[in-house]
Amino acid sequence: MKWLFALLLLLPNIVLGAGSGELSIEGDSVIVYSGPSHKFRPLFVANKGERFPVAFEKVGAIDEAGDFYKVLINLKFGNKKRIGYIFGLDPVRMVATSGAQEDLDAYEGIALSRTSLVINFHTLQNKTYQLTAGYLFYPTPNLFLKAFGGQVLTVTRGSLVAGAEVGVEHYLSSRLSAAMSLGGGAVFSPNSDVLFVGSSKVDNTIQVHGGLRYNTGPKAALHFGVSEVSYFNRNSGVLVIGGYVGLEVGL
Amino acid sequence: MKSLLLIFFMSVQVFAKGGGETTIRYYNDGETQVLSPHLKATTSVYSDSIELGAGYSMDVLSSSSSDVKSWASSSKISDTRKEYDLTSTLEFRNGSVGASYIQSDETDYSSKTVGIGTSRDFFEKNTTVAIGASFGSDVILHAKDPKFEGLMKNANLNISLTQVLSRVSLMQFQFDHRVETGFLSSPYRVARLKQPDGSILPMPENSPNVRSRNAFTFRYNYFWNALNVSLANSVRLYYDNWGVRSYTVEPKVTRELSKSLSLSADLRWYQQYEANFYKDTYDRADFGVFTSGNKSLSTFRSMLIGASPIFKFGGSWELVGRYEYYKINFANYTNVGIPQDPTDDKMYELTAQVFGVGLSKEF
Repeated sequence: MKWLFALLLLLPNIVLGAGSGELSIEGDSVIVYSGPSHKFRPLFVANKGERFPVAFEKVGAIDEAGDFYKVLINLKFGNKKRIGYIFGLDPVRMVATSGAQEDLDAYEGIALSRTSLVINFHTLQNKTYQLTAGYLFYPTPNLFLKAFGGQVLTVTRGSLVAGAEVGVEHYLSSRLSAAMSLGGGAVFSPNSDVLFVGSSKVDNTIQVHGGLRYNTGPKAALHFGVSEVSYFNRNSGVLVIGGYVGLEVGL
Repeated sequence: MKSLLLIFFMSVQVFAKGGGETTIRYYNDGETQVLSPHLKATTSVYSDSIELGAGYSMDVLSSSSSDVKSWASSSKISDTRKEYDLTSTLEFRNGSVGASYIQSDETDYSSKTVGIGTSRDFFEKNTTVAIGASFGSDVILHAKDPKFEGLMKNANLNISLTQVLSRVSLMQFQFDHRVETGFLSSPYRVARLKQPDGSILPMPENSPNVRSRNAFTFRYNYFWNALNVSLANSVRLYYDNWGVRSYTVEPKVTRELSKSLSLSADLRWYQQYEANFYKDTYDRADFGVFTSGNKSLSTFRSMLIGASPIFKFGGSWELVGRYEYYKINFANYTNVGIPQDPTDDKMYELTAQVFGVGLSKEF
């Protein structure tokens, strides 16, 4: 009977009853997702030869066809183990383990949305405020792109701002991640000298934001951190630093 | 005693990885001499997840340059700049987050800069994205005027994308944006106003109080297997809102002569075009709001040729030598000599040599 069980473990993509083994990565790179769907945020790319403790029973995908392997992953920092998901049709293989079986149900999931709507409020030097709404998308694990638009507010007037950002993220735990992004765009003002002395009707902006994101679940996250913002044109400009808070709603 | 031993062994386990380096550099252009010793140490803690570093540098300067001789009350100046830096880097599965603090002090200038940065590898470590930002605050003083104080804030924002192209080549794009606001002139330097009689009247500088600077750099590295030679090349384009534009080309060749000895040679060619308000001498007719005597805002070109032998020994020791020959030719900055005597004026040029040696070890 033992030989039959061992033979079954060698077959790829096989569904067994309750229990644990390891999932071996057979392809060059396989994405580990934070939830059982391609709509969840990708966490990292697992390389050929890597192995993860796995639940034999696959999980049905949410809002799409197919199913996912539920695996135990290590987020490295602090050696915190969490639950990740690998698509059932990816090049992987179940293998038997001789050590103690991991109880995957004892670990926390992460489940983050791949696309989100983000609202940020920045309070900057010189009584300058920036309020933006953006569309956030993760094309690959830990890299996000964001398009944003909103207003730059000074004491007396407001200007429109629009631009795009690219950023990277590192998971500190299942709920907390560190993120940093650099963005650029244009600021449209009704008149000259609105945003800074020498500003024109169309100015440029380059901004860096760095901080922490607290994930409250798949549909929401809070973030906060520091911003360094430059508004400038060919003749003049202003440099302001400050802080920001934001709310992210998963789509 | 037992507890002391325990602490010692615990610290050996905690500080798993580290290194140290020391370098000394001597610059001499005939008018200015600078001796620059530098020390740096790094260690890692928490299962090598966190790297900590500390550095100390000095610049011991003595100068009798044309600026000093022409416009300062003394014919020679000397100063010492001391710089301290602290760095920490948190390592992740495929990337890192880092923070740094740098403080630099000299008699009439002090600077504090804090920085944060992050990098992340993608696609089996073939692609790396790095983002960084720093904020600095500088205080500019005058050695002979205790009431003078200028403030300058600056920020650097940068992003880079590095792509491995093959087993022997990689390329990198980098964008740097720097903004400086506040007092951007020098309390010592002067703009030169030409008088109707032909003599020169020194005027205090007045630069715009905002400068936004942008640079795009492209790097391409290639390892030539057959010759055991690596090539590292870069091209940099720069422009700012003062109208300064520049181009830099920097090729470098390194050849491994044996397992313990390699030799590198590099060239740096630089061409710059002047700021839109810069003039070598201002006439009363075109004397505008902004004036400057800063030769680094003028049109000039420079060339640097360098060579470095690198000797590895004892497993993890490295000894590096360095020689640089530097030449700069200004197209519109005059070495005025005696300011009241226009007959000794000539276009400024400078030739410098740099000698350096460094020793480093990884633990």
